[in-house]
Amino acid sequence: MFFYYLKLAKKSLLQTPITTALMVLAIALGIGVSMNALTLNHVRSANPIPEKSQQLFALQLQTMNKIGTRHTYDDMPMQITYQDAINIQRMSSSTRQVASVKTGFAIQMEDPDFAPILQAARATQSTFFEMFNIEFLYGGSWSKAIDESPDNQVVIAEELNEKLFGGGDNIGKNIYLNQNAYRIVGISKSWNPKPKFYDLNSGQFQRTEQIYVPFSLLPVHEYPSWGNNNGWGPEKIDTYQDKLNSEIMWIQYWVELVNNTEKVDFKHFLSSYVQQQKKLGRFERDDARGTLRNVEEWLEYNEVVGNDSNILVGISFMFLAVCLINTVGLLLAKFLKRAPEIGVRRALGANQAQVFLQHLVEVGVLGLLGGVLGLVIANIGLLILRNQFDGFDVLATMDMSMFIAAPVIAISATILSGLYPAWRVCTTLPSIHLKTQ
Amino acid sequence: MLNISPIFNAMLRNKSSVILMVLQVALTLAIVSNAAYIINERLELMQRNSGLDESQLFSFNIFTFDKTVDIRQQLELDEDMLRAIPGVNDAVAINQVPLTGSGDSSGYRAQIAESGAKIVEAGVFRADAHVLKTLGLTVIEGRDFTQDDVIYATGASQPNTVIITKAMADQLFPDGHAIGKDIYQFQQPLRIIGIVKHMQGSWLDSSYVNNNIFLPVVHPRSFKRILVNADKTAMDKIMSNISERMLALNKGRVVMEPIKLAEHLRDQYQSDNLMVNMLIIIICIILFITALGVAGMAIFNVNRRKRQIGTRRALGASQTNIITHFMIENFLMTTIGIIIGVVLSVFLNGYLMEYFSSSRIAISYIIVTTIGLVLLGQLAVLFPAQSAASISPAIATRSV
Repeated sequence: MFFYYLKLAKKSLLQTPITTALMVLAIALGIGVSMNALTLNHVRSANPIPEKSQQLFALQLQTMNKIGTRHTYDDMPMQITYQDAINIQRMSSSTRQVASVKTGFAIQMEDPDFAPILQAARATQSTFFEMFNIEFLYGGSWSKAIDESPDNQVVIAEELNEKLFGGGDNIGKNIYLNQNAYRIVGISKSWNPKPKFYDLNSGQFQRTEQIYVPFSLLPVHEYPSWGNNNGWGPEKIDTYQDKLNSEIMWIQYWVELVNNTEKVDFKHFLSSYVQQQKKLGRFERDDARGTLRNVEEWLEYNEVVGNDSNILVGISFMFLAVCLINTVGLLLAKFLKRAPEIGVRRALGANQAQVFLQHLVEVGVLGLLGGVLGLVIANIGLLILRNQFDGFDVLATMDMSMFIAAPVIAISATILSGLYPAWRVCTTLPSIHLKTQ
Repeated sequence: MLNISPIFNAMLRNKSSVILMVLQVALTLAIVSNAAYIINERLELMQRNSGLDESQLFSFNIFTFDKTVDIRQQLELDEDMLRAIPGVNDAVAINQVPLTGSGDSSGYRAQIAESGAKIVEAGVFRADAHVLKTLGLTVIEGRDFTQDDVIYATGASQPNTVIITKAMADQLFPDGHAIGKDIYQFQQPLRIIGIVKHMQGSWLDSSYVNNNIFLPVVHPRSFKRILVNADKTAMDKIMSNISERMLALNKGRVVMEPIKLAEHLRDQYQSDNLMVNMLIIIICIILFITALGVAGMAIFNVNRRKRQIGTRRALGASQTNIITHFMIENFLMTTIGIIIGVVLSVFLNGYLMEYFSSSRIAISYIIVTTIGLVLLGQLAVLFPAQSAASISPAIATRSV
């Protein structure tokens, strides 16, 4: 039966080529534009670490005085101070947690002819790799002992390994960061979470750093911060040690809590830490507290998806609605015009359900054609975006789910809009049309 | 003369088509008026005056890794070298470059911090006495920096004098007379010696983009930005070998690619630009689709009513009567659609305001869109109406 309906649909669609073309075009444009907008939104709203997004928590602390303000809606700073990072880690050592900060180096090689290159780096701890599921091609992280007693060891990412050595196992070799020799202990597999959730400060869709150095080297080599440094009060900062002791907030801090018990315990610990620091004369606000946000909450808090992206999706789906209403109108007109023919079919024994199905199949074919053409239009649009705007090579790319979503949305939306015309035509009384014949 | 009631009755015979047409017009009105309003909002944003001549400015970053380099001295040598290049008007080492989206900001008050006086957030530009000349700015009140104002500091030392933008002065001292007054970040006073008319800071989307303060202090740090003001015609040539020139003076550093301020500006407005382009495309297609829909519906109606039209013609209706019939029919449907559409537009705008910090739509956008839609509908219906008018009265006498 289905194939017979398909045959009828083909015949009917070819009978009125202009109307068919108009309907397909309307659906295709609607789908094309809304898929385009949805793709931009989809990448922005992607979960960068789905397997752990409920277990990783960004830690925030209200360390400011009463005068200090931040631009967040709850007035909480996004980052924490160096001293709090060190304190919290010492006092809750059984919990897996990591402090990190963005910095950067001029890299030099043993080869004196190698022109120094500037690279962003992340000063962090050995737990970083386990917590964020970063795999290694060769070697591994520096040992936990290095997090306590610093040593010039470095993990480089696959891409940088290619760039510096042309790939291969280079464990044990030295590279020079700002003229200091560092021994390579690990080469990490390419890792580029989008959005770059663990540090959203400078560019939410920036590439990850290609160099990882021990956080414990901060006081030794006095790494400058390449991210944001937020202060709120008068502080005399003349030396790097002054900065480490200061109230400047510049460290990103993540905690891994696998179940609710751990979460409750850690929250309890945080409030006791806040109380303890209050006694020491810090944290003078009444709302001094620590908060934990999991990856999804953190991305929402940082407004990663963005207003524009949401507005565009909304408007483009309203636009799709107009295209579909347009299609309903044309379908209705077309089907009703064919009513006499249907009258004959009904008189010859086709029941209402069969007539209804026949028309739905025709609508489905329209939807499929429109969906496929819409996919083409959406991809042309994305191609233009990638060429016209910098930084859209990541954002304006369709993944598999979008490729499936487009025709599915197109077909279901057209079938939905075809329901009414199909119902109208199958409920008209055959006798009326037979009479006029 | 205008027989609305028979037209209305004819419409009622085909309710579903009318409802669809009304819905389509209503949604189109809501989308087009709101999209047009957003487009205009963004265009206004992008057309703001930066106070700078972006086409004459470029900047680049340097990172000195060689610890034996005396950065303060080296910066002087670099600046001298750059300023001597033919076509370069001035150059300065600076902590942040306007319009680039990255830099420093701080809060300032007209009294010490503990006073609780209103805090005014501002972009902070630290450089030597060449800063205003390089940016192409002049003081409208007071004086420019001299080399005596400049301090070289490794730590927290602050200079004694500052120059601020007019916008910042107006916020700190609403009564005017900012020159000679002191402002405070915390306790140490900073004396205002000059006011510049206008300059946008680094973050174009921030509320304090026009509040900027210039401090005559140079921090000899490993990471520095260099801003160069050069003649438009010579710019590309100067930029092409700036890295070689810098490295020739000292090899212990990495010199990053120079970028024109005009390019930074384009990047900063990229998302607004994208929004404008997408919305313009949506408006064009939606108007096209709606026009097609109106015409398609009219053609369908004409075909269905062929015999009735023929009968009317046979009974003495002129061609103009037939055309007017369809025009009025379309006008009626469009009008109902517009009434619903206006409500929908305001509702959509309200939603955008509540959740996406948009502003109240100007009524003119709805009015212009309304007029446009009426014209579009009339235009779209004209051709089918003409073909209806050309139906021969004789058709009434034939049976099918």
